Amino acid sequence: MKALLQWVFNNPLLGLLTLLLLFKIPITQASTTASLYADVEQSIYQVRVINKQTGKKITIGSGFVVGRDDIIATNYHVVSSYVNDMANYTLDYLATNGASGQLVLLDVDVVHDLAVLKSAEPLGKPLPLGQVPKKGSALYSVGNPLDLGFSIIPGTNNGVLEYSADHNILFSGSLNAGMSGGPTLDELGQVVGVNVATSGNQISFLVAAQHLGVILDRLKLRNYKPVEELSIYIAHQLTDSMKSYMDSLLVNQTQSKWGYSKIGRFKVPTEISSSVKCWDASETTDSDSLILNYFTQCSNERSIYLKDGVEVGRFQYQYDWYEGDLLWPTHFYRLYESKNGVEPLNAKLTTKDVTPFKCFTNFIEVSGKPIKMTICRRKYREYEGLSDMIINGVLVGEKNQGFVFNIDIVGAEFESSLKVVNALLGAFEWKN
Amino acid sequence: MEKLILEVQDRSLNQYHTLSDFPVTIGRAFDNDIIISDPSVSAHHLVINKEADGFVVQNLSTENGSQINGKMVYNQQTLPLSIPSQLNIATRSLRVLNSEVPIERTIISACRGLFAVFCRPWGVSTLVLLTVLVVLLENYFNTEYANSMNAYISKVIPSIWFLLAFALLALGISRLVVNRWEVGPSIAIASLFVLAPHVLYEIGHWWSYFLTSDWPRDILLLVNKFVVLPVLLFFFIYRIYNISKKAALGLALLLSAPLLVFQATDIIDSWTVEANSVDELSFNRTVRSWDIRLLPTLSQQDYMQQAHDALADEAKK
Repeated sequence: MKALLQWVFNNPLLGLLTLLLLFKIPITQASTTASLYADVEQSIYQVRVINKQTGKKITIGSGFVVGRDDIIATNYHVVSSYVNDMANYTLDYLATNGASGQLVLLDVDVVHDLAVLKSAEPLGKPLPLGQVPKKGSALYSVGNPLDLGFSIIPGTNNGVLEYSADHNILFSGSLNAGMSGGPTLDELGQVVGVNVATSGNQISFLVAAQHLGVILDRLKLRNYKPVEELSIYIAHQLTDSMKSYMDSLLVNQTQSKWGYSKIGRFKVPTEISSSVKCWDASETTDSDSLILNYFTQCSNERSIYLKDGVEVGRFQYQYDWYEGDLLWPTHFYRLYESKNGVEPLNAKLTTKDVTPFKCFTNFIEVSGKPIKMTICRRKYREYEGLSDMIINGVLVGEKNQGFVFNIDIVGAEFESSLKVVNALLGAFEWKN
Repeated sequence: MEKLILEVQDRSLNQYHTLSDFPVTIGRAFDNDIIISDPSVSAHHLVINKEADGFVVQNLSTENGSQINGKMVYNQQTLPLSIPSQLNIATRSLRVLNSEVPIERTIISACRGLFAVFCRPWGVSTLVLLTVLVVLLENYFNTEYANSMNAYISKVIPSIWFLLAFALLALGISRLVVNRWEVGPSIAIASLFVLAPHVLYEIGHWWSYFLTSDWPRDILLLVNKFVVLPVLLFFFIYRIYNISKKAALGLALLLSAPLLVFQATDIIDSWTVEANSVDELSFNRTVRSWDIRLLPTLSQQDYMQQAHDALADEAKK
């Protein structure tokens, strides 16, 4: 899923990620579409992050007036470059009539990719929030794709993705870069979701409007005061979300909802939540490889946008079984050892973002078999309590059989993640 | 009758002349008493004579002249000659010695005892065979896809090529320096140079797994990069050239310097990359077919507790 919808001018590669042709608007819907657009036109804005030095925009997204006439909602990822460098950037809006002005960041929900901003002057009529209509209903998405001008795009509601960790709405319509943060409306003109991401060919995703409602409620309670200590606030949102996700996995185990698979001689947990999808990636057995490999990879396929190129929330584990019955043990172990590689987690992080990995290695008995096991952790310097964890286990002591498992947790909450690792390990079973 | 010895220095074998009938003429022409067929030497270059109060030397060369105990002479001046003396005529070095100068000890052939392995044909052949076998096995063990025998053999060829090239280099140097074809030792040192990385890798690996730590492997990697070549060269030079240990060490370091500097650059580069990488996972990943190690196998509960303590404490800082 490409979770990036802003149109980035100084980085053509990013801009090209979601370049799609606009879809033809069906004639029968033209009248509804036209009247809807006329209704909301005064409430739609382009939200921009401006470089203070040059006065030029570096990212753009869409936004809409909601809750109060001076409040604008958009995506967190639209304003994230401002959040990560407030000294050099400011926020402003551009209206459909060409007017523009400054915006102040009030509150964010990083987990659901939402941000709420405030203007000094009234901006227009607040759009009402609505419920997700039934599957198949028509929805209308509004925004400013590729900075080409404000547009309205019809599509179909395909319901809330219950199996995914995000619980986003699947919108079958064409969202494009620059429409991020724009509203998607039902036929009554109520906002049912906020445009957030696309995966191409009419596969688009919306954040359910209820999450925006939560932010508006808490803003009202604190009288629309901006959040202080934003990085701690964001870190809490992320760790709380990861902790409750990890806890839900443990609850699933107690309710016997974990699925298992046999990888070689090990029976291991695979589908431990409806949000986790598993794939087989074994090498074909008819190759000339001297060792046989069975490989299964499971992932929650979640990505919470933190900043450019840095996404957290991914929980992924993979099991590799190796067999080399015809090989000398020395030969088998050479190959086995060379197979145990660990892939980098987040290519765009630098030493300024995270500490070096610290690892703990020892031997552990799992279902009667010795496993050389390592847990590594690095911390995010700006987001307290947030870590990346890499867990690596390698079966030792068998002459011609090997088993490697890797667990990656990106943006982990340490304590709850360790509990899940413990539960996963405890569920391994060696079968003769 | 007092006699003198004239040493004409040659890189491979010095020549000695007994001087008893004075005057003695030295030069390139055939009517000299001592003929030195060096093209830089004049036809009649030098005369050594005996006078009442001692020996004298007279330069006859106006072309390249002579250097008598460090003093350059171009005219036909006669100078007193102390014994011993150093005379340089043109580019050739001579020494005038007393006939009673003590004889240096006989150097006994180094090719005996344990060292025979490195110079006798049977020893060298065994060493080369062992090296080729180890390289062949190493290549086979790192092969993931089944292959024909020819393919395995072709992978050994570069190592054999390198072995021969290195041996030829050592052989040529030994011919130049000591004027001998030291075939056995040259091949032996080349074999050892090819064999050493594989042996060190295996030992380092074994120790790393045994201790569940990367340091033995890392240290042996450094040994392989910085110690193996100078040490091998030192032993080769010391045993074959029959020079002092100090001189042999100096020569060995000088000859390996280019490689050592290259390795140092390489290692500094990799440290720089590591220091800036946030994905570097420095934990021991070795596995061995023999599961022999110091660390005991922990229960899951103990492991989790220890991992928690090790990683969570760091988080509180």
